[in-house]
Amino acid sequence: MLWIVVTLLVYAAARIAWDRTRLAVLNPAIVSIVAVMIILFATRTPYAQYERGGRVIAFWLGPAVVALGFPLALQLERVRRNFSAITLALLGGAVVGIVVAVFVARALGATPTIVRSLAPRSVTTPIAIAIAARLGGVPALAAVVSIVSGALGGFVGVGLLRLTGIRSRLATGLALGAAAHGLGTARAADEGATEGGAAGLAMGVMGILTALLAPLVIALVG
Amino acid sequence: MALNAGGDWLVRVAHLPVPGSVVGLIALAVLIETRVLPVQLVRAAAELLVRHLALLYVPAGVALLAYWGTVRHDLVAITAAALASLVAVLLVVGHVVQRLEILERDE
Repeated sequence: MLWIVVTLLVYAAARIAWDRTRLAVLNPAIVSIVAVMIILFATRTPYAQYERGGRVIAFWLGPAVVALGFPLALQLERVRRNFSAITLALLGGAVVGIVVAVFVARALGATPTIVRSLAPRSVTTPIAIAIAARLGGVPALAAVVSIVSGALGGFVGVGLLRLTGIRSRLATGLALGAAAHGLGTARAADEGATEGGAAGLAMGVMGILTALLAPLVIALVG
Repeated sequence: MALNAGGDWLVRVAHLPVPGSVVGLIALAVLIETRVLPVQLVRAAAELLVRHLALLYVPAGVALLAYWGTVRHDLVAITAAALASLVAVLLVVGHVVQRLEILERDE
């Protein structure tokens, strides 16, 4: 119970700092995770003790993933005009996202457990956690990798796209949402409503496609 | 919202390789799109959960403490794989959309 309150307080503080500054380094999830780790370390609390409280909060991840269907439904209208372009791009993005992560990790000698945790890299954190758990990876690693790459993608994504000649608003939004999910979507929304909507759509669709495709890729290459 | 969580559990029993919550996500989007479920009914709960999603990751991330021994040896591989995958997805999606979008307009 104590640890539920501590987590809530830490998150509230991190959230305020983020809302005031909007600095990419002050990502509320990363700041909260590190702060809780430091508090546990400083008070010499064993992780198992924290986990009993943490479980109560983590329980809501399932319903929260379901809740992501709501913003997705609101974006479905936009798909109709460029249906084939969007479908093909996101399907390609989902496959590339899984395959590149899996092969690079394997080539550099990561253990199978680690490889399974990296497969859902390009997916929004709650879905990445669910996929990693389903594949037999480390959900905690999937969570951290997802959060960090989202923050990084939100930070450098637009620059990288412009550098390689992407000008289209639709392409910018979809790429940001697909590669950097939540924070990419936030960054895309700063660019404009078209980009923001497209990014939200890409984030949801990538979550679904990766959930379907990741088990296949892992089954094929181990 | 409790109803959605219920659907989440229900699918988990069906032995799909897909997480139950993702099936729930699809079900919710379809139910709203087909107007079976009124938007007003889910809006408040869904928006609250999505807004504070980051809070829910915190215990999941802290759990890394328990796995630090497993993860430590592969830090370079993890970083490289994540970075490569990030850049690859960004460029593939961006370029495919931009090219096809122009084709669709030309027709």
